[in-house]
Parts: sequence; C-alpha cells; structure tokens
Amino acid sequence: MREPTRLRMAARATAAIFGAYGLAWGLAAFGAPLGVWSGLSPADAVMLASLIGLLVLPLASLWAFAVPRAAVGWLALGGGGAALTLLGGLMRTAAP
Amino acid sequence: MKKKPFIKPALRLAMLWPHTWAGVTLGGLLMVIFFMGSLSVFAPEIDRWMMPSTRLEAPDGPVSLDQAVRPLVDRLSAGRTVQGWFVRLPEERNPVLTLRLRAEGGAVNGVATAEGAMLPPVGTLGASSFFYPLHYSLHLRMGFIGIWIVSFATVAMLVGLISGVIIHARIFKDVFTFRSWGQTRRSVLDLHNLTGVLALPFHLMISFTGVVIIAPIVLPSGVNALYGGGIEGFYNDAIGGFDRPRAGVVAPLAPLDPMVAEARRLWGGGKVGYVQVLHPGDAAAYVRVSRSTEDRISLNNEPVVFDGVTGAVLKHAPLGPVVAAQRFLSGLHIVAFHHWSLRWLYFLLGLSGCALIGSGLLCWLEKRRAAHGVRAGVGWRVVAAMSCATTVGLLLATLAMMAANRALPADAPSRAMTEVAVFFGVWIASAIHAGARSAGGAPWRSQTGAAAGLAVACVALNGLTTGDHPFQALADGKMAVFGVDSVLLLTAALASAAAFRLGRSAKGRVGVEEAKHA
Amino acid sequence: MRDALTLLAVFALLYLGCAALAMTLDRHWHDLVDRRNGPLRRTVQRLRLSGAVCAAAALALAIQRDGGAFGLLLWCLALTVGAFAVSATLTWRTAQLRGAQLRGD
Repeated sequence: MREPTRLRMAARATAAIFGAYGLAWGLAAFGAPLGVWSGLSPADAVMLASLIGLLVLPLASLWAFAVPRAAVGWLALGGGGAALTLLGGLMRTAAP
Repeated sequence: MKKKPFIKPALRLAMLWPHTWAGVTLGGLLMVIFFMGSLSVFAPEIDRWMMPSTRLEAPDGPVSLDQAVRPLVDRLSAGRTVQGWFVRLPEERNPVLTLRLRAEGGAVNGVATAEGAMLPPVGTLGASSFFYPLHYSLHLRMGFIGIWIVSFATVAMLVGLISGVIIHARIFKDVFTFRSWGQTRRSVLDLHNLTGVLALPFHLMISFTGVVIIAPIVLPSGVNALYGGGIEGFYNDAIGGFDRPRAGVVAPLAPLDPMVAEARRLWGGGKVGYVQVLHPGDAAAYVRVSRSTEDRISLNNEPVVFDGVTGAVLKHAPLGPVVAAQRFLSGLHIVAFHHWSLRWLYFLLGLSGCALIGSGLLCWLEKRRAAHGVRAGVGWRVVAAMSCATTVGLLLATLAMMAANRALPADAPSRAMTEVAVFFGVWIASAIHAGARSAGGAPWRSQTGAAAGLAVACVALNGLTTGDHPFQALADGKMAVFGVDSVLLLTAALASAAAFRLGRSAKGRVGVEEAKHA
Repeated sequence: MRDALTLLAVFALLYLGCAALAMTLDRHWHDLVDRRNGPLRRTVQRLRLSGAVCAAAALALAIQRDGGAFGLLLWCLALTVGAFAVSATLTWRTAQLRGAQLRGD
C-alpha cells in the first residue's frame, strides 16, 4: 500500500473536519423541519435534530479517514450536508 | 457503541493518523479543559478557600427576599434606576447571597450573608469566575469564539477516544494491565490504555454531554431553520424563558415572598435556586423564580414567571421530552446536584482524563525520541515544551494564583486582576522555561518540584492569613477549606514523589547516553 | 451511618467483582496463581458468575441508597474506580512476586 502523501492526508483531514461538520449542519437543518412535520414542538424538533447532528459528527469524522478514497469522503459528507440543508430549506418554504 | 470483535487491520491502521494528530495538536488544549473542568467540580469549595469572608454556615430556614434581599438591592443601586436584578439564594455549598444588579451606569455585584448583612468585596474571581469559564470558553467571550474552540477540541477528543478503541489490539485481555516494571515507555503506554479503556464510559459521557450543553450555539442550523437564527426565541420556547419590554409606567413591585411560596406550591416542594426581577418599579415588571436542582440530575429548574405588580403567574410551562432529555444530559456534565461521593468520583475520573491525555503525549514524545536519537528536531521540542507547560505548568499557574490569593492584602487595588496576572504570568514563564530546556526533554523534574513547594505554600498561607489551618478547619466544621487544604497537601506529596522518581530515571538515562558515547 | 456503610459495600462489591473478572484473564492468572497452567474452564465460569453476582448486588444497593438515576450513575462510576483499584492491586502484587522471584525466594 502506498504511503499516503501529505496532500492526501490533508484532503482527508479537511473532509473529516469541514465535511463532517457540513453533514451535521445538514442533519440539523433538515431534521428540525422534519421533526415539526412529524408533530414535535419547534423547540423539541430543533433540539433533537441538533443532538443527532452532534452524535453523527465524530463518527462522520472518523469515517472520512476509514473510507478507501478521500474523494468519496468529501462527496458523501460535504455533498450530503449540502443536500440536506437544501432539503431543509425546501421543507420550510413548503410547510411554514 | 458498537463492539467490533474482529477489526480489520486496514481500519486499525487508518485510525492511527487521526488519533495521533488529534492528540498531538490538541492534547495541550484538552489538558487545560479537563484540568479546569475537574477543578470546577469543586468550584464552590475552592471559592470558600479563596474568599475567606464567605466561609459561613448555610442558613437553617428559607431566606426572606422582601426582608433580607430587597434592602440590599436598594443599597447597591444607590438611588439609580434599576433595570433588573438577580439573586442566588444561599445553600450548603454556597452559603451566601449573590446579587447582581443592572442599573444605568453599569452592573453592580454584591455578596451578603444569609441574614442580609453585606460583605466587603471578595477581591477575587475565585474558581467560579476564573477556573470554570476558562474550562468552557478559555475566557474568549466575543462571538462565542472560546466556546467554538472548546467544542472543536471536544469533538476531537471523541474522535481520539473512538479511534483509540479501534486501534487498541487486545482490549479485553489488557483491560487491567499496568506493568510498572521494565521500560518506562511500556509503562506509559499501559497507563494510556488503562485510563482510556477503564474510564471510557466516563470520558465518552463527559465529552459528549459537554458539547450537548451548547448544541444550539455550535450547530445553529436547526435554530436557523425554525427560529430565523433568533437563539433567544429558541431558548425562551425551550426552557421557559420570558421577555417583555418596559411599559414606562411607574408601579410598585409586589412582595416577592408570596410569589416564592406559590412557585414552591406549583413545584410540589423543593428549594428556590435563584430569583430574577426585570423592570422593577415599572408596570411591566416580571419576576422569574427558579427551582434549585440540587436534588436531581437534570438541570431543569422549572422556572415560574410572575407579574411583578399583581403577582399573577404568567408562565409555568413543562419541558418537551427532547429538551428535558437535553437538560438531563447537561446535568450529567455540570453536576449541580448534592451528592458527595458522586462529586469526588467525577473529580477523580476527570483527573484520569488528564492522565489519559498526558500519557498519550508522553507516548508520542518517547516514541519519537527513540527515533531521532540525541538531537531533537523543532517539532519534537515544541510538543515537549507544550506538554510540560500544559500539564505541570498549568498546575504551577493554578497554585501560584491560589498562593497570590492568600498573600495579597485584602485592600490591594485591582486585586482580582492581579491574581489573574499571576496565573498567566507563571504559566507563560513555565512555558518559556520548558521551551528553553526542551532540547534534552522538557524540565519536568524542576517544575514538578516547584509545584510541590507551591502547594505546601498555599496551605501555609491559608493557615497564616485566616487561622483556618487544616486541624482548625476540621474542628470548626469548615469542610470546604479542610477539603481544599487536604487536596493541596496530597498534591504536594504526589508532586514530590514524582520529582524524586524523575530525578532517578533522568540519572539512569543520562548514564546510558554517556555510555553510548564513551 | 447506614448510608456510609452502603456506599462502602457498593465499592467493596464492585472491587471484588472486578477482581474475580481479572483472574479469568490468562496474564494475571499466570502472574499470580500458576505460571504454567491457565485457569480451568470451570474456574473461569465460576469467577465470571461471582463477578456478575457482585456487580448485580452492588447495583441493587446503589439504587436502594440513592434512587434509580443517582444509583445507576453511582454504580457506573464506582465500577470504573473499582477496576482501577483492581489494576493497582494486580500491579503491586505482581511486582512484589517478581521481586521475590528475582531475589530467588
């Protein structure tokens, strides 16, 4: 197995830090309106979504190091986070 | 947490880099957070030690707000219009009335006995206003930047813990293993594994709950989604806050004691923790009465909001299930409850977290030292100096601040800030000392020895300046003072033993080096 | 007084339970009991059962003393401290025996 270059490790590290946070951000952004839609009070929905986001954060970070290709890590985490945030925005405008 | 009985070697290898790098880059910061956090478990007790005028007995019965507190508010306001005031009522660990006033011209603080006798200014920030905020925000308040930094370090801690478990090869077979004989490097690694695995549930809990407390601040997208980013609106909704502007019409504030009695009736019993009065003397005044949480784990203090003029209940809302869960998780971290054995366990396990981080740093240093031989590179020297400065150096700074607290005269100008200057001054000095001597390994021995001396000095200074030397404190029932003095003496004993052992092993290592080059 | 005794009992039971579990591990058995033969399967089963019984008894006492939430929390943290104490005991005892061995006792 090739020794990972500094660039590769940097890519993984940024995915682990920013990508994972992006995913957590997206989870909270999408989870909060989803929670309201399923009947929770707004405060409860925000809190539940934030807690789930925080729980996922370190696990997603570690996944970014475990995944065989760093690019997959960035796609899944950063991309996933962005997608969830968009979905959350859509949900809010659809059901205020 | 999932148990992985057969972890693939590739995964174990992949986890090594984040574990090592999170530890080396953030180990120093995490050490500060864990050490200050452990001290904060006993913050009220350390406050009693640092503020001798507050070494009082807790009152037997409830304190009358109208008779004891309102005259103090009038005195502190000195004729100015009061925008709001806040009083924390005395209890076992904090036997004084703590008052905070917001008036035109600024904020005023005051401390008084339970009977309503004003005490002179305490002249120190103490543990509650220095060690504790240092723990959760590094005293960097602008834009919550300190909280963000601490949260980042905490998530890194969780990453370090989980990756550490994955890396550890024989986690069940080695669970009790600590080989104090043989190579020091192996003993340090054993200690790292031991403190990491045995206290894993505690470390996971304390780290996760730490971030949970400020979840809406560091992960604000949920609040943004539903409250347009208005975090106050979220907290009002979530934990029963209340807000309304002044009416501009003068109206007298109703008696507070009946409101307290009504609150206690609504709670079904329990003690009052604190009382907040907003817009006193205005028609839109309101009073917020919070329950003490000393008898429960959850931080839920069931606030009841009263109209300030009529005394009618304006708001008493129960928590939703998720918010209640978050208050419980937060309570697991803050440990505001009265339970002495649990409190000591939290303190000891918090220190085991310091041992975990410190032993990890030492592992890395020893491993790299073996690799580079006699001449150390810059990176190694930086980590060595940082490790020494954030472990022994931090202890030195804490002890120096406590010694200064006793040594400075009570009426010294800017007394509290002088103590803080001593703390940071000693810390920076120890870092410079460590950096200058980092070539051969940081000056652990001399700094540990200095810590032992300072700890004894603290106990001596306390006895000299207050007369409450340990035996006297025990006889008088001042258990907080006795406890702090005892821990200081224990620290001195442990530090002396460590310095002695370090002296012996240093001689051994130097002998080997000399033999190699002879 | 009763509270103090119950607390002591909780710690003692958890210490003994961890000690029993520790002795099922080959390393500590070889260090302290028999250098050549590991523990019998029967012995391991009995030690594990004893450990479980001690832990359960400690949990019951803790909950009876402090109620559900505080009792469970106390049990979890006391378990960790008990495990540390067992580790310290094992280290001290093993170092003693090694010292005796090296001196040829």
